[in-house]
Amino acid sequence: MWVELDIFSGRPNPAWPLDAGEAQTVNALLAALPEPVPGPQSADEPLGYRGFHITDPALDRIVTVRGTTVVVRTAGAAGTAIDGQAHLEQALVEIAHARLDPDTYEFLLSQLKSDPTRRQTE
Amino acid sequence: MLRITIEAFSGREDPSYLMEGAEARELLRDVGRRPEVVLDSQAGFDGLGFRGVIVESLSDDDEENGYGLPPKFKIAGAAADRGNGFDLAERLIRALPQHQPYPSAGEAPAVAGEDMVDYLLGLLQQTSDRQQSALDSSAAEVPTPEDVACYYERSKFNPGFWNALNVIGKNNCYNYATNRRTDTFAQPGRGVGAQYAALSCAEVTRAALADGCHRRYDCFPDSEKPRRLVALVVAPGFDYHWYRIHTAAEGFWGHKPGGTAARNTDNSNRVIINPETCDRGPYTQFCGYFYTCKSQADRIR
Repeated sequence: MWVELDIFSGRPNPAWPLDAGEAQTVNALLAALPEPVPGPQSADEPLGYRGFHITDPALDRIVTVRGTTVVVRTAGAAGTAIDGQAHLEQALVEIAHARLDPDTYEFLLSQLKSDPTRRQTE
Repeated sequence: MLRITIEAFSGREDPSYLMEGAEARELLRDVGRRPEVVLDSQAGFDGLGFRGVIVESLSDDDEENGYGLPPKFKIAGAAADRGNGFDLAERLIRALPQHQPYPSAGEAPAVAGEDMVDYLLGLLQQTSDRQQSALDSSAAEVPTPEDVACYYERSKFNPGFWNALNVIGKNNCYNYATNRRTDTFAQPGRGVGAQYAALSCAEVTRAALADGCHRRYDCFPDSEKPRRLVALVVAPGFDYHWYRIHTAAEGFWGHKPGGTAARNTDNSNRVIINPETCDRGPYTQFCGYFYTCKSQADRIR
């Protein structure tokens, strides 16, 4: 299972594999989500923080998390689930804290503060 | 004992540090030899961005006061004069990481890192460029931007090309600005072994010039068609981003944030008419305009 922090434009985004414990945490949070509702997704992909992408080759699935919005994409289909307390994003931010250099982590935090989707959860 | 303050910020406190001993005396000696760079500490530019460097004596030490200088003065205060001390300001900015911060109140912040130095040098360069432009336009014998006519080609906005599934994730803003798909998430300078070493205007510019870009008004010949007018911005210390101008009939700029969709709108969902003033999110520093060209597009990787 891989996580990509979608935040840069010129540079490649930071990405890292999850260890067993992290994968278990993320999978538990994903399992706790309501069933995704099929339909078109928002095209809001600004400069700066755009969320986390979780890739699970075993399930042929990409999950995009930003604030309370969780988009699940599989081959040919996509649906949106709402994570009311943004627990999944919070868990991914904590994992990112252990992976990113301090300056990039602070940059992420500054971006999260100004992200309008996150403000909805505060 | 001198206190050096880099006047550059609006909301946060300006970086400030102490300088003493031989280093302080050397600075005062150098400034004393160039009285034309000395301004009153309240004089000069007072808008957003770099405003000058304040040098302030914190002691009545006879050694430091023997250079004929006032106890507090400013250099590089953006006066429209070649003798404005930007070189001295650069030296004092570069010295930031070697000194403990000396804030006016409260707990001292961490020692400034190279990211801060790069950011401040970028602001200084912008101010210097503005001054240089002003000088060029008043010197009749020196060609000014208004006197130079460079030709470039404008292409129609075609996001569909960049947003195809097999293209979108492998090509970034630099690919888009250059209008060259490489599927390598192209990095300035990488194709010629001179990739940027820092996320600053100066370094990304250097790398793009190494690829073969030219600064605006440094024309490419027709043999380098197609030539594109592009703009570079940075989130200092973190990332860079590029824009490309589209046809005159369309009247806007396009861009592609990383692996996401190409578009002609900014972070406020407004069509981009001017990359200098559009909503760029964290890409707060505008580095300048450049031309890409055929041979540069061939080089990028």
